[in-house]
Amino acid sequence: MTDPDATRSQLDADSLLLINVGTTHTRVSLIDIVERQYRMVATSEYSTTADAPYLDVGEGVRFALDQLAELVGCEFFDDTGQLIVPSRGSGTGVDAVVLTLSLQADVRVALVGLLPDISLRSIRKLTESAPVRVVTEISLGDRRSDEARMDALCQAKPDLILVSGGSEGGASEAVLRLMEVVGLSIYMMPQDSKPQVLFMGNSAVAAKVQDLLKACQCAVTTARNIRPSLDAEDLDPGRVALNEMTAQILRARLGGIEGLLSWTGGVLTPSPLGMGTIIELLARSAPPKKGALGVSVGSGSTTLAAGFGNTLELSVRPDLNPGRNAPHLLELTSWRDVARWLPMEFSEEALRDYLHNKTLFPQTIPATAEDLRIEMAVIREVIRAAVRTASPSWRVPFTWPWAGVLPPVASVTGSGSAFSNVPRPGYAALMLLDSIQPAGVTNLILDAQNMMCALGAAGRVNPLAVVQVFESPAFPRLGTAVCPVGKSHMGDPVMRYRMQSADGRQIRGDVRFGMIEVVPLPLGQKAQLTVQLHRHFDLGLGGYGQGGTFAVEGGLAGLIIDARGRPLIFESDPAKNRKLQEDWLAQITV
Amino acid sequence: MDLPHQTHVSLLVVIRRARVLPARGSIIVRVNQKVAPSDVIGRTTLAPAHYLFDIAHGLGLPPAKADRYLRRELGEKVSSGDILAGPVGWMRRVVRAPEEGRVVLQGDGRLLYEGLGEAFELKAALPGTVIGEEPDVSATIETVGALVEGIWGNGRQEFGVLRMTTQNSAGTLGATDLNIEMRGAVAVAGRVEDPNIFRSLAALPVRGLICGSMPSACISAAQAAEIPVILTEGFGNIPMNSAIFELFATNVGREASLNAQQTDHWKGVRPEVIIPLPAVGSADVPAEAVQLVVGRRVRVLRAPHAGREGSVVSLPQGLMAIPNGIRVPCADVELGEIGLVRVPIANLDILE
Repeated sequence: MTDPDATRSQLDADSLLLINVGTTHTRVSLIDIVERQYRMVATSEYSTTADAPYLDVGEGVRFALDQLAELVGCEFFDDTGQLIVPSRGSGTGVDAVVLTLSLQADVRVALVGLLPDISLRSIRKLTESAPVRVVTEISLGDRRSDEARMDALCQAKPDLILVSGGSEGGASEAVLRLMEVVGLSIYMMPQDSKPQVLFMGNSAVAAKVQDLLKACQCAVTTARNIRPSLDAEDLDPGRVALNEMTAQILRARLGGIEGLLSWTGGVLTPSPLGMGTIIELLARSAPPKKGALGVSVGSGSTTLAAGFGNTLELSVRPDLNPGRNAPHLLELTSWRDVARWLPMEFSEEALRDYLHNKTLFPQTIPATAEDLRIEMAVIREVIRAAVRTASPSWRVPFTWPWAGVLPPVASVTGSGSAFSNVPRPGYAALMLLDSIQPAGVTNLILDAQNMMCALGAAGRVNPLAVVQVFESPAFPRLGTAVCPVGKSHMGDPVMRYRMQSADGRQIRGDVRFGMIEVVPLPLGQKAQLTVQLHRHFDLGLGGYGQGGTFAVEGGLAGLIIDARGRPLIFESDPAKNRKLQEDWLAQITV
Repeated sequence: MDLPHQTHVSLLVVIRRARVLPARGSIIVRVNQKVAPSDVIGRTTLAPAHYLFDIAHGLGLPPAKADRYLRRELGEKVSSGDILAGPVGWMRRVVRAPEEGRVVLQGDGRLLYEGLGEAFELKAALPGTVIGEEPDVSATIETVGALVEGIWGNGRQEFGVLRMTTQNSAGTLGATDLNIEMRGAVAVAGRVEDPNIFRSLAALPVRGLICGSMPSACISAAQAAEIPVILTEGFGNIPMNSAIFELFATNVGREASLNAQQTDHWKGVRPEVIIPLPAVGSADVPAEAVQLVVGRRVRVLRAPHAGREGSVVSLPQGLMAIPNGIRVPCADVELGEIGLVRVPIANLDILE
């Protein structure tokens, strides 16, 4: 996994090459010092070549690097075709390489726990933080015979078995008995498909578990007990171990990956951990009682990272994406929930056909205005489904006054071509606002180059570069979103505002319920916003009806005042609702 | 830059297919052996049940002593009812095999037994010659013929004589299009609309269905059908691509092998139709990973021209704006009567 010497040798590197191998696209970015600041100089992308007939991820990376070399006028390879690391002066090679993997390849995991409501529940939650698919679960509480448990494990053909059970100083005999079943199952599996085991149970029996499974020629990794006591849960070490083991399994499956790893000293970062690094940084720098949120939507998975203080929550949903698993969305949400975002009539049949066609051709892009609106509707509900499942278990170290609304966040970052490849920035802002429905005052940030995960992974090599690049135009602000919580009737007054920009310009206005108002405030400009709120609305400035003055930041979409209430309210009449959807897009892209 | 999707629609090529057992077993054909589609080329067993016997408890002995009464060697094949351990005592207590299987592990008064499992036979699925073999795992069969790759299949395999059931590539297959001449044939249709058609096809019975598209509401019925179902275009109301329709039309009366396997991107496996043909002159293996160049035959995968076929006229450099405002790499494609259209490269499928 991580080679400390390799990492050390890359410290203080000047130029960085970021590589992210995704499900459909491979992206490469060059980070270098421009006017004493780290900047993302250029980014290039090529189709991922992991699938047949290429079966070599390195091919896609090389094509992308050739394009990048043309863009920046650099030479990356020497005469023998080897990447030049470290650089040999201006324009030749790079000083360090960071590789992340966000490609999905159906990593099958089996869960083994003592008690269904305790240890099994915790490892089930842990699996949500990595791109894996749970294929079977066994526990002492499942009332099956040992034989039935063995059959379940053998038939599930897992790549990885996650084991938890026994609090510290607690059960050990029961854990060992269950591990015997696991060991016998692995013993019976064919030599070339024996799974790896990650043990996160009672540390007192970890050594015995190692011995027990050694006889089955099974590699066991141990991480800190996920349930050190009945009422405590410690997911963080397990999350890192699970993601790293998942990456190792993918590494074994991917042709051409070893060549890329020779450039990074063997370091391969799973993309959720890279994304988590960025969100952790943002959460730590957020004002008190506010967190940070990031969402990445790819054709292979949807990842949600939420940071509050020092806690980080990761949710990786390979089952939930607008690409290869698109129809699964309708198992988690109704077709009407998707159709309500559309400005035109759309039947359930048409939506199902659309989603099934996306599984066949996940790399395709919407080419008509109607297709684009369908895509945006699907993405909103994909994110909403991910948030709905993940948010109840977020550890938020503060209270907030709004029931049924997510905890306040200082920033929401959107990553993936769903956000970066849109006609106008307002489209991306609207998708984030509709799907996350942030409350209060929130900065919307766009990962314009789809490199957030790779940039986060670069934190191991050069933390300064991560901070400076995240502040650069590679991650432009879409704008500050001012989103009061409350309900009213369409057209009723919500707030009165006055924006005083740094150049002395003043803009005033009234905003009514059910509309979005965009106040022109270009990217990079700051201003003071003074608001007077109607008594039915709260912006987190001291209670309902409490206004105030605060700093806002401009962005690609401008300063956005979202007076649609929280949670969002739709028109019950379908025709009126379709008009409303048209209006919202028109208002935010004005 | 996007690598376009690629679909083989080839009139005459050398086709090599590895037929792989789902679990290790035995391959029963040899290199250079000729095979027919229905020939069994390998056998294995699936999903064996496991039994963990507490021999010591069963025999009423302490574990160390019970081991002395174990009667089988590790890996030994045992018939149902055979004695695994014992007899012990005046009651002649024994532990018997619950089904045919083998002893996997024994000792410390316990015995792990594996049943035989469900028998599985691997068929050749296409006529040809065995050109390679991985013992216990797979055999590779080579044939010469036409190849059409589909984009969705219901997982079944069969072979039969090709019959057209619709007049054109946009025609919908209805129950009235089916007659006694279709019995034992592979039906080709522009599209399917009604899930009940699968029942009508089964009633005849036909041996398979190839169609351009069907509503996704038909997926359950198609998956339940006993015959292979292959889509060439997608879900909804998309006519069969004209090149594919014509290829089938010119091969009416010939036998075709349908492998409606599900797409596996990692293995490069897709549903496919193989029409074995007499080798005339030299045929090549289908070209893989072909480049998108001017003149290349392509079909459009997505609205507004989904399913339409044409040829690439030019490849503009850089990002181009498409009507909805998105800027992406594009190709200019001549689509017959529709004329020249600009299509995102990501939405093109090279027909090779």
